Amino acid sequence: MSRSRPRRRLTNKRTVTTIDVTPAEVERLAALVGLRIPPEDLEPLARSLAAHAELVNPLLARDLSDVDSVLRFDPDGDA
Amino acid sequence: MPESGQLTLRRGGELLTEGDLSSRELTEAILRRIDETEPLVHAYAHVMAEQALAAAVRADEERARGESRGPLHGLPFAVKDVFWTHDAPTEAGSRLLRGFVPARDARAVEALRRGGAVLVGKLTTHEFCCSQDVPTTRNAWNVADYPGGSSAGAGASVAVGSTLAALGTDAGGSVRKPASLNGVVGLKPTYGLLDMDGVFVVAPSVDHVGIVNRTVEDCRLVLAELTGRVEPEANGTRLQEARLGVVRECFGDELEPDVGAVVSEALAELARLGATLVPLSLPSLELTLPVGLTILVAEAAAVHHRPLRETPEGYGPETRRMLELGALLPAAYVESAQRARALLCAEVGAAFRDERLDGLVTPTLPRTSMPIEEMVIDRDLPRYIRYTLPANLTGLPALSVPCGFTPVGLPVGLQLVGRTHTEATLLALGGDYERATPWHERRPELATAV
Repeated sequence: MSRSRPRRRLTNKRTVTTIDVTPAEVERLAALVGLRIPPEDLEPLARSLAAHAELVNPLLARDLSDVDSVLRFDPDGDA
Repeated sequence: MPESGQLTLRRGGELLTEGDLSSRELTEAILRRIDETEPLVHAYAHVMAEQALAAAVRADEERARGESRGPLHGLPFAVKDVFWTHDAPTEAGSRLLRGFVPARDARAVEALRRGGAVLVGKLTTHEFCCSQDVPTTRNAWNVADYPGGSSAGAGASVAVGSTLAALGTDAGGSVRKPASLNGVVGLKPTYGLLDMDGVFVVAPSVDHVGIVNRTVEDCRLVLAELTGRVEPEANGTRLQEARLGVVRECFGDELEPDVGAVVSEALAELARLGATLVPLSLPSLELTLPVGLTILVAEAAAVHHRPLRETPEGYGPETRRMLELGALLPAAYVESAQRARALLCAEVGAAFRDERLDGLVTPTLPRTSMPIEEMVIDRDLPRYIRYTLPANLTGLPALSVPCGFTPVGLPVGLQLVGRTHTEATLLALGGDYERATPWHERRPELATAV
């Protein structure tokens, strides 16, 4: 894939995180997880990945290091 | 016999018990109703007329012998086409499953059939419940409008009376959303309460079997049959003694003014009925969409990993892209989402404890239905599930009840969220509200005019 394919650049000013996703990168990532992405999906998928990265930016910006990720659905009614 | 468009499960049961109606007559009436309404609402993927009539005749014969299997004996129900049925295809809205007939019923279907309920058909869903495609189903109140999903057929069929009860699944609001948009009742019980064995699941850690009915009382009947446990309404906390948390984050800018006005009036009615309303804030709800959508798409991709690798062309393009996205998400996103989810669980639990709450109250959805032709899934779907998704992330039971109509006549739902395993309280609160208000009695024109 050529580097001249369109790049999607997103910048989150709060976290100063820049996410670039190209169709070529999507294709390489997909190959790593064993997926055959139809050519017509590469560009929309690059857009979706960039959009999702933007969506999770507020989440990544939070310091959650002291939160235990094990869920407790309390059966005693304490939520 | 009342028109099936007006009949409730409870009333249908009374008519059967009193001998004023046979299960065969009722099933025939429902099948006629399906014939009348399907050209407009497209709620059914498969109608099981032959199997339903045979089951109805069996139910009548059992009643004639003095045998009763319980309150649902001889009453019709339908299920979303993700519940396995041994005698009809289960296709989950997917080309990949075309013609698939499982060897056995899903546990939930088995439970209702064991109780003598008559399965009349399989209801439409978005492909594999992913809500990425535009459904063929239409809203019961305006056939140009979105019916809600992914249990699209469940909401529409109950609203127009082409079934008296429906089972759906709910991983982000997929039972409560169509219930709210079609003016009926939707219950998502506590995570894990209802068996998902034999159900095509979209995201295992947030998915639930749910119930759609005309009334809260009917929901109680179906839940009792599914759990094998009858919880009388008296076992739950009643509205006049209830403390309900009003969650500030569910009344933000995204709330349509018409919906906000209806819900404000509903809150005033709750207060008039004796409930204590406790304003509170749950700041972690700001992260609902990044957390919920990350978990949903990542888990869905894991569920579909093998067919996505081997037969990607078997999926519709929108669903395939969502699953591909999930497969490519960095693990750090998923881990952060799980941590924030744990934070939300802790925050909600603390609110219940500190404020001594019996429930939380929110609008079910920030908006009413919209014309299908104007829908942009990527933009509109997240807007719809913002208030329903937290109950999936926390596993708490949640009930949507009709609470009024906008000036253009579209229904609005009120959501009550309870503590873990307090369905009895949730149904008691919803039942008290329902009896004091007329909204559940209003039926769409389609339920009376066709």
